[in-house]
Amino acid sequence: MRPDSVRANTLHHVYGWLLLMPAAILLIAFTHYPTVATLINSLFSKGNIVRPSRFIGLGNYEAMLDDPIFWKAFGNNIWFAAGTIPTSMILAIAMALLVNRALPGRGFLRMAYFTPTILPMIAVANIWLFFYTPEIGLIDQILETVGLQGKNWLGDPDTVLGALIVMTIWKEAGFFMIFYLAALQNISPELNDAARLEGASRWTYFRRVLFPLLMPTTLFVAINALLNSFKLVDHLFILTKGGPDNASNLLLYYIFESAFSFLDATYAATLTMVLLALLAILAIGQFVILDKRIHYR
Amino acid sequence: MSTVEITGLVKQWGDTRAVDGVSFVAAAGSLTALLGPSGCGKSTILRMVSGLEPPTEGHVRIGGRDVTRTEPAGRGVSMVFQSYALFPHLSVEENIVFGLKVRRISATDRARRLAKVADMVGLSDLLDRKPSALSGGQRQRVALARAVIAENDVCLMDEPLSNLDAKLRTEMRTSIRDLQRRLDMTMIYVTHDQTEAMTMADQIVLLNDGKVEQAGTPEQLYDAPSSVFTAAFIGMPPMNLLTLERFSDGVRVRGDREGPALAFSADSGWRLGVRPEHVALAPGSPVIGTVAAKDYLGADTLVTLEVGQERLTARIAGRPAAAIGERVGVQWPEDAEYLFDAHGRAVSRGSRTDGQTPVRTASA
Repeated sequence: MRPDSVRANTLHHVYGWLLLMPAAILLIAFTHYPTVATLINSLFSKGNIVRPSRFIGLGNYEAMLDDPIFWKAFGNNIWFAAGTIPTSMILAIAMALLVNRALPGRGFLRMAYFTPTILPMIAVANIWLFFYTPEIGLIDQILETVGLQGKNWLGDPDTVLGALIVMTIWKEAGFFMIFYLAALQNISPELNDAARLEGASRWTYFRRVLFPLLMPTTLFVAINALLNSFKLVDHLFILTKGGPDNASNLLLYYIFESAFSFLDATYAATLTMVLLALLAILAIGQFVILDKRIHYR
Repeated sequence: MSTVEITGLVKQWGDTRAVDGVSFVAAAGSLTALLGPSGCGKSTILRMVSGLEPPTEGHVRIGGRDVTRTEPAGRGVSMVFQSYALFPHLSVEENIVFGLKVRRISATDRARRLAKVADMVGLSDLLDRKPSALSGGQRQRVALARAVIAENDVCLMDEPLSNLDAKLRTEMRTSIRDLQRRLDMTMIYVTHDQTEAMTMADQIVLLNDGKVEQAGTPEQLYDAPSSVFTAAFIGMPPMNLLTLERFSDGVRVRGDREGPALAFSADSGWRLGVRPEHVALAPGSPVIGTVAAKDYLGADTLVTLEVGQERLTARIAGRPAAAIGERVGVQWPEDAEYLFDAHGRAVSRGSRTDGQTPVRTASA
């Protein structure tokens, strides 16, 4: 190669790296470095003034496996995910199908469905706190007028997780609806015409045509819903603080508690690594399993 | 074999009447082209025939049965859409047999019909491809196969060739017509391309602004246009329409003071129609035109001439010598003249009248 073409090549490389740099710096500083630092942290003992932190290998992980609260929060999280994800996605598809049709007040309906999403979680939690409050809450008042006994929805270990699931579905379904609505708008109405001419019922059309075409959206929404179900924490601050008796404690809230209430940063780091690994496995699993069955345009 | 009969069909959206009282009969086993400019309501008529769109008024009868309120699937019609409406996630085979599956036709029956139809449209080697892996022409064939496999008597086509390139379009024209004849289908074919309508149709229904402008065989529409609209729409290039002006000594082409008066009487604002192939360059002719443009097409040349304030096109065989800007004599035979009144309705055609008793040929 001639010298000036070598120089041009080098310049090209520098140029490329410069273009990459802003994104790379952000990604490394706020994602990669914290991940590695957390991993290292999780391998050390909790330090204090008397006994400084020292390397204990997988000691924190062993302690975690013996920690009943971890297992409680983990179990809760599984139930929370199982309770919110399918229901909110089914609701989202149903609402999207409904508002995708020409009907009066369609714009208003779309907005109404989407409103829970634009509210901050704290505000949502406050609204639902009003619903769930014993005696004076909306739900109990309604129950009372029809002669039923109200109850302390958030104070009862049997109902608290269910109460949180209902609220989360209310909040998430509208958000997922937007994605489904966008996907539906991209599907030519002539496909429906063609199916109708062949005598396909609405259900057949949905099952054989619409749903398969919505699969890319479904994968995207499913991953988001899964991440959300493990990431959601704000409402716990307002509504339950994980109680009663950890009946509504979720993993992320437990991490927060460990780090800032119990001031055990290394144990929090351990929990974080577990959560991270869990989410990574689930997301990869979804991609691998679903990707083969998805038609991308 | 099913005749499709449409009477008084109206489609109204709000204040606009997209289709305004359309009636025609598509004879069993014939190809009827619904021709018209975009927005004339032709696709809406097709959708009302298929049942995808309910009519505001009027009736659709297929094979003598009134199907105006029947579900699309109960009408025994197939349809090919402009966008083909193929299911993108299904293979060619699954696309073609979709309707058979919906109707729970047995697997052996499906396979037999699929093999026959795929062979007929030349798709046998592509059955497991997805539509995205096909060319435009192949997708068109899949849509055709899907319409044919249902074995319905009536097939509706909504601008099926408009997404194809010119060469493929000519090819598909022939094969669609072929298929329609072979299967003896009653076909209603929507197009805005008069060439498609002229070459394929047994009957053309020319639509303008939601109404039938004129209906008839291609020859009837070409030879006896009942209005300026038909005259200008049919033919490639279309008929020359020269606005006339009445002078004290007779009628001339507008602005053509020097030329001889035309030997018929008409009012100012009436129009004289002459097909380009009837216009000749004749050195001795008293009508003088200035050559404005020449479009060489190979076998012949389209020469645009200015006569008075009007322009007319002449289709001249080979390469005429006349240069642009040259003044040449122009003539056309008397029996090629058409006369339209100020409202655009045909007054006479074929032979030059003496000015007193115009020969009425307009069927409208």
